[in-house]
Parts: sequence; C-alpha cells; structure tokens
Amino acid sequence: MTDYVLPDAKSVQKILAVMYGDDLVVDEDDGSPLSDRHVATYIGDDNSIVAICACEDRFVAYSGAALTMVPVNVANEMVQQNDFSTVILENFHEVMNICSRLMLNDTSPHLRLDKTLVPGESEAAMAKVTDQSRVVNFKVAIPEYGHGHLSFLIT
Amino acid sequence: MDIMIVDDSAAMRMMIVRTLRQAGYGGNDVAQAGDGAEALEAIREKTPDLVLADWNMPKMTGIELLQALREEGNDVTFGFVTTEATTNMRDQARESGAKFLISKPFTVESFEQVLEAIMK
Repeated sequence: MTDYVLPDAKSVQKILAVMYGDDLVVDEDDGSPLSDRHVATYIGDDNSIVAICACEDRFVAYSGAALTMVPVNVANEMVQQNDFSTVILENFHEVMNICSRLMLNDTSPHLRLDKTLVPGESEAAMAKVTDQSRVVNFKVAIPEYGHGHLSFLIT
Repeated sequence: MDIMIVDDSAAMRMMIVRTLRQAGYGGNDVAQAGDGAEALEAIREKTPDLVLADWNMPKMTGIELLQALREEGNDVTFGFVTTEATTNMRDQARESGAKFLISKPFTVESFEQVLEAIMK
C-alpha cells in the first residue's frame, strides 16, 4: 500500500474550478460501470501504473471542450457519435495531467501522468489496478456544458 | 516585451496567453513552441525577454531547455509553468537558473504575483 492521496470532492472541485469556474459542482457518488471509459494512467518512479482516472465520454467531451471554449453542441455531437476530435482528446490529456496533483501531497511518493487511453485501448491498464485499488467516484457538472462521471483508482 | 510560451499542450498555451492578457500583460509579443527543442531553435534565432516553459515535454524537457540555454551563455529570464512541482524539482529549477515556478492549474493572481517584479 502506498501513500498516494485518494481525492475527495472538495479537492476535485477546487482544482477543476480553477479551469472551469467556481460554479463547477463535484459530488461523490456510488459510481457507474467502469467499462468503456477513457482512462488516464499514472506511473510512479519505477514506471509502473500506480493510479488510474477512468472517465465517462461526457466528462471527456465537456472537460475538453470547455477548456478551449468549443461549443457545447459540438461536444454533445462527439458523445453521440462516439467520435472525439484530436483537440478534445489533447485537452482532456492536459486536464488529466493537472489532476495528477489530486493524488499527491507533501509526503506522498512521486507520480505523473503517463498516457490517456480511449475505450478499447484501456482494458489492459484497468486490469492492472481494479482488483487491488482504493476507488472513489465523482459526478462533475461543468458550467454551461453538463455533467459526467469520473473515478480514481489508486493502488 | 517578447515572451515565449513552451508547452506541448496547445490548450495550455492558449490558457497561458489568456491569463497573461487577464493579468494585464496582453500588450506583449508572444511566441509559442510545442517542446524544448523547438523553443531552443527559436530562441537561438531571437532571444525573448521571458520564457515560460512546461517541465515535461517530448523531445526536450523544460529543464533540459533551461540547461541548454545556460550552457550556451543565454541568460534569458526563465520560469516554469508546470503540474509537477516537487521540492527536488524546485531546487533543480533554481540551481539551473529559473526565476520562478508557477503550478498548474494557475490563476490570474498567481501570474500577477510572480510576474509583477519581472515585467517591470
């Protein structure tokens, strides 16, 4: 067991609100199925996966779109068609990079974002952590866009 | 004043430009590079007054860029805008000649606080 921090709703709200405004709302919930999610993998200094953030399509679309003010209807189309633009996926990668700070404190070991994976690429990474992880689930509502779920799994 | 922003995320470069503008530094000339190697080439052509660089980037990291510049005798004012900000990294940045390190996600106030003295 490592000492990486399991984020809480308050810390997630605080860090995402810097990017999306103070009206952003984060609630911890019971979560939804982790299959078919976009996944960010975080690695320790030995390059092994130590944490994952698994995100629903809607969170990927809304967080990516809102970061560079892509219209909400464009984000919704991507969700409906399951076809995300390179810009949205790059923006999502940056959001996940920033979220790495949620799992760190002054005494925790080092970790960093390694990859963001789309559904279909993410199952192997998920399998490495799902059986031995601490898990927390959040519903995040991004102002003027909508809500999506994300889950942190930490070994 | 010429400012160079170095980050592999186009979204982050856009956010830094926007934050500079909101912090009252919108009247400056801003160039952008997607990694340290691209920035090094550009800086060799024309040295800006200030470099704002991410730490982790492909091809050449931010700290490698800073060290390469100093090895070439370039003393451009250099600061990091980065997610990772461990004590070791802050020490390494300072020892290599960085003036400051701003943590992501940043606020307008965090930019104002750090840049106020430098932009005079």
